[in-house]
Amino acid sequence: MVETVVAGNGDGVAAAVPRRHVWHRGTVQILATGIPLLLLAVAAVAAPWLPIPDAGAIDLSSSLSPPVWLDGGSWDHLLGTDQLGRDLATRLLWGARLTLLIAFSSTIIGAIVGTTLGMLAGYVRGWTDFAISRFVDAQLAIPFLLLAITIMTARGQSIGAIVAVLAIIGWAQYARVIRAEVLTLRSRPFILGLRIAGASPARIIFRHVLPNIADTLLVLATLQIGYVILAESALSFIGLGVASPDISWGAMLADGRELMTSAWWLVAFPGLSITIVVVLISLLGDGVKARFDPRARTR
Amino acid sequence: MSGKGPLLEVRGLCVECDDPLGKIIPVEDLTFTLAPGDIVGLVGESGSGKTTVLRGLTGQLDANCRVVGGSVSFRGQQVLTADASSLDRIRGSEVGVVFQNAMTSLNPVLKVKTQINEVLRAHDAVPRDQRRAWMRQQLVQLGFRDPDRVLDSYPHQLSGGMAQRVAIAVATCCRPSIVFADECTTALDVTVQAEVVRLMRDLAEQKGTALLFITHDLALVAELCTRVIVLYGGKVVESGTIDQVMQAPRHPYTRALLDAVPLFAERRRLVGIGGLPPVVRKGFVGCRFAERCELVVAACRTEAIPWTSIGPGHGHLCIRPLHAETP
Repeated sequence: MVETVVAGNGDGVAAAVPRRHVWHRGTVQILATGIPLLLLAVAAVAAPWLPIPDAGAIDLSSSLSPPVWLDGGSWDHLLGTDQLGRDLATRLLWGARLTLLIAFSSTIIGAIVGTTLGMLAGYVRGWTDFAISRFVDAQLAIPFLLLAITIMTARGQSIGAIVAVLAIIGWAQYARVIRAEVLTLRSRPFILGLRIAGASPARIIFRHVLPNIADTLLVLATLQIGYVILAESALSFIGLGVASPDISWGAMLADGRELMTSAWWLVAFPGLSITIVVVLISLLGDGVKARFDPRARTR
Repeated sequence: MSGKGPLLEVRGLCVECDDPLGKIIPVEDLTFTLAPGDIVGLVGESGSGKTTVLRGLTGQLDANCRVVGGSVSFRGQQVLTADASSLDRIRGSEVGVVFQNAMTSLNPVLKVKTQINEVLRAHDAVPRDQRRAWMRQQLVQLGFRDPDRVLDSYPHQLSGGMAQRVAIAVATCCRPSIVFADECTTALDVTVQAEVVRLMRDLAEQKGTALLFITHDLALVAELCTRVIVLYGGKVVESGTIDQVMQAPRHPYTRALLDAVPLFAERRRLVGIGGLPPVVRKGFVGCRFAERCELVVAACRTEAIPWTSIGPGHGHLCIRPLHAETP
């Protein structure tokens, strides 16, 4: 046995030992977090065609029945029902549709706007930087709820308006962080070399600066998605967000709060869903960073 | 390529920077020429304005600095007053820059092939389908034995010497007529340094590339360059051919720099130069080296020091030159 190890350098012996395929830590993490998220997303999209009870079906006779494993629970309603006898599991699945749609679209819009402005401010400097930075300061000074109330009143309460409000809250954070990143990047010699080589500013920003800030952006976006889901819940909670008959997890939390003492499952399961999704997304972002950032990659 | 005349002609270049305490003049009255195949060493210690010269020449000064005087012409065309489109044509295709630290002069998240391709693409130097072959050939010329592996690597997968050679490949892949090398061997160990120096010399001798070699290493300059410009406090204090300057330095600063070069053959104590270069502000009078000079006299601090020309491209900025008797 010792010989085999020592002879590893010699020809033939090394080739005879088959190299075991080792999974990259990031790959494992991506699969472990990505697959559950993907399943949830597919199930949410397919909800109308799944053989589950109607999310709006009212059955007062089985109102407020507890989850199946508690006394009085039944297999008809796996996670119990609300005060109108609607099936909680079904409503959670339907709620995932809007929750995820709103969270992802507003995060993506906020990230695109914020990153673009942040890179512009950090790279161009001067008056552009000054204007964008003051705009960011102004944005961050406006209370979230005040902004939400203003926009909802002006534009009417709709899914589009909710996405807009959440994107507006998010972009400034990206702009601020990305600007700081780009400020340190732009003084690096390779950027100077590109400028001397005559590469256009747009080319430098998108081809060379963007890949360098991608890891920061990814981490920021995964944090922001969690924040946005919670913000959407808060909006729904005060009645400015998703309203009946539409369902989101935040709205379910809001509806269930009055019955929290008697029917805890009405708030526990939507709350748990939000927590699990936020954690999975964070871990997914972490895994993607570990797997695809060339600087974090080992030889 | 037009064979006659200098490629780059710099006359009286002055750079001025804003500073909370008043204006600083990091480079004043810089004059030199570069002809094809020339290897000129620009020598000075930290803070003497070497890198500001490079930034001034390439139009990349910081926002608080600007060129306030002099002219720079490239193949007879004025650069400082040129419009953006003609500048873009000169940059990259005619000028390449190699920086001190190869690891920071390459983009850490892009593969080597992408980075070289960026420069080729920006100048349409090589048709798209021939670029890979062109890049391989470039790397082979730079002494790489497995160019394909290097092309598909990220910078952090290369050693320091390999990364510096890749940086040279990026700077020279469009066959520029001028290469500015800013301390490009400082961060390398001596064996790799010798390799890079050899590559630089090959560039100049075989391709006729003009090299401006910015460094503080006089031994390296003696080894590589044909002419040397000694910069101190933003001003040229001495210039000439290697032999002229090394054999008979006129300016006490050049002398002191030469004394500070460790020599293996003579085991002697290294002689340092006490103090630091001055920060030169507007209205400065006298010799910039006066504070640290052993031969200083009263006139050095109070009078404007004129440039003493000894021959074409040979002269000094000192009123009490050494070796005054040798021609």
